[in-house]
Amino acid sequence: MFKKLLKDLLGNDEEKKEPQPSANAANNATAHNQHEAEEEEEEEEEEYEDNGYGDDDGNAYDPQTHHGLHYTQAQFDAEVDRRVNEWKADEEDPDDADIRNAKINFGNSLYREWNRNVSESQYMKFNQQYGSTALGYAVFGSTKHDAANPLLEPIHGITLQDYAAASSKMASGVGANQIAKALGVEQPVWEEASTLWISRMQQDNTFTVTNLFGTYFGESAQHPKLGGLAAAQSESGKANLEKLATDRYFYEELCGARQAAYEYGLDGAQWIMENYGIALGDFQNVAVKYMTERNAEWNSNEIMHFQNYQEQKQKEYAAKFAAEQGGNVADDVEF
Amino acid sequence: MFNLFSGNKNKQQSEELSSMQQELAAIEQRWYTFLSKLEEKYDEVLTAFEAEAPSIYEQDEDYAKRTYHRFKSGMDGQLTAIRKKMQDTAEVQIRNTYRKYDTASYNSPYEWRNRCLDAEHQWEERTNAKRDAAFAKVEQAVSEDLEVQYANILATYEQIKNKFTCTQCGCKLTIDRLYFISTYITCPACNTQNTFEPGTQIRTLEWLARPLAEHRTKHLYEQYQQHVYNGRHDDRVAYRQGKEAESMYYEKYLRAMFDEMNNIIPDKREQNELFYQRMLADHKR
Amino acid sequence: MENEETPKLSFAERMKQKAMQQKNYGHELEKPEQAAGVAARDCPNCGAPRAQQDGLTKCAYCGFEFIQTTLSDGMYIRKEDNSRQ
Repeated sequence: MFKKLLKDLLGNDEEKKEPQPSANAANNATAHNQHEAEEEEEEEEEEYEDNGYGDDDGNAYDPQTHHGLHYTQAQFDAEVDRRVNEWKADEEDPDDADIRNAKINFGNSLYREWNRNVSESQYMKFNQQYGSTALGYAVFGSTKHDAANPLLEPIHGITLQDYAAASSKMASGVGANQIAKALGVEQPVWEEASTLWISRMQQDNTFTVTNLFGTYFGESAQHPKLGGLAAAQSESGKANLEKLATDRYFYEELCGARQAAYEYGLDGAQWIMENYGIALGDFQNVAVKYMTERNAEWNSNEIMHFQNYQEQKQKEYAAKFAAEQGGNVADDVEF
Repeated sequence: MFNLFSGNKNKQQSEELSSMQQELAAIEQRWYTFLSKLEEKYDEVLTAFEAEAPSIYEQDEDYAKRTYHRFKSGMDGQLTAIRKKMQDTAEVQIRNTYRKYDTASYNSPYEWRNRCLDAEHQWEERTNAKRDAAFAKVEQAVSEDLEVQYANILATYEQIKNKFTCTQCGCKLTIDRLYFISTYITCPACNTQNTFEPGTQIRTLEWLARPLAEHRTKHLYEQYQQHVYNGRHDDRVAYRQGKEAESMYYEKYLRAMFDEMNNIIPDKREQNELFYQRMLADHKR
Repeated sequence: MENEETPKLSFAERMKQKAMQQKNYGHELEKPEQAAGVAARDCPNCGAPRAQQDGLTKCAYCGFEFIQTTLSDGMYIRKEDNSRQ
């Protein structure tokens, strides 16, 4: 969903260039593992392979930075700096990107050294947070709302929370006039604020505004002024939405179906509306919920499991849509 | 020559070998035929897409051109389906067959496998290139229409800019700029705040500005693309020079693109400039 | 894929039909093409018109709140558009 959001906001070519915070972190992790594997004792390697990606490794961690609590962040940073400087002495004139990458790699390996039996999911949380911070990106789900950040200042009194909740409601069929009325403003004020909030996201290369937008978008039901606004929804639509939010398999199935629908020339959002009575904004709200949970837990096995399930469902729906259109172009080509 | 016993064994081996070779040769032949038939279908889809897409775009009255996008997505879906069929077949017919015979210690057919998979690889490269070319051609054709849409917006603005009067005193109101969202217009005579609604067509200006600006500066974007440096990181001097040249062309493109945006939608200049700074910073990062 | 019974429509033509026959998402909400226009909002409480010098947010006569938020410097709307009282 965020890929889509970024694409809508920033346009196509932008999307290709934007680093995906989580993918980025995963790459760093792979690079680190390959590098470290040679140096670490065999026994240790086995230990973290065997820990089954469990969440509780018995250690205490800072919930924000994900650092272990048996050292301070200042100590950690000092040691990383020391290693970076040592490395720099041997390097011939490294540029900023080299130094940044070195810092990330040294930080990740130091983290493993100082948190010996860290679980994989805990490591991934740190890796994501640490890598993104070094690159200057905010991390979805753990981005803090700093009221002093000028990019988060309300526009005509309309906060980012207002704007995000309104966007969510509008994607579910609530009209702009209802939104303006509930926020206590007139239409021109709402429209100007709306245009300018999009500009704020475009200006912000830390992704802070976009990430917070996503979080607040997912919390639209709790918005004091907008939470109660809802477009007309059928009884079955309500029941399906409830199921979507509680049954992860159902959610993955509809994600797969929607993807398959687009590949068969159907508007996936409209298809879901027609068949399940679930509006796009409501669907995205549920997506944000699962995404937030995923980032908080980071259970690689589970992520893979649901990804496979979604792919399987996408295949099944593709076969269904293909049958409905009288087959695929190359059905008569046999080996 | 050879004794009877080992001769039998050799014979048996060579019979096995030749039956394997026959099977492999047959599969290989069928594989090439299959690939070329699939490519014909691929080409058919692309030809039809190129022929139909521009007129569907033009006839699509939706501001977001959603009929066109559904069509495009559906046709592209067929290309994906053809590619998947090719890949699935390669798995079953080529890779599985190779695994079957690779277990025998003698004469592993890896050259056969390499030939077949090379053909797969070349098929992918060729069809991808054709797809890119066809999509770029259609994109070019439909983006010509952006200028038409923009001209229509300007024409509508000319028609309406002196058309309205103050709801309070009836004095003439001048819509002095191309407002693309609703806003307040003050009556010059009685100072009443009138609310101006620009209408559906003029509202699309906000979404048209960037694609149109990109269309107008496409040549610079292509020039930049030609200078994207993919050289190796370890040759520092060449790497830096390459990256510097790349940045220069990117900046040239980006500046021109934002200048166009500022021309098209001057009231967003302030916001556009901040967006420009951000994109430039992103590229440097 | 070639179906003998259906009239001869190519795949692309059928895909085109399918694309054209579908409804857009959110079509129920979309207003028909809206023309440009001008309106004004008098105070719903006392009927007074809103003049520029009195700001946008409150009625200069009875204090009715047209806009409940505080306006900032935006694109067309500025801080000065807040009513004084």
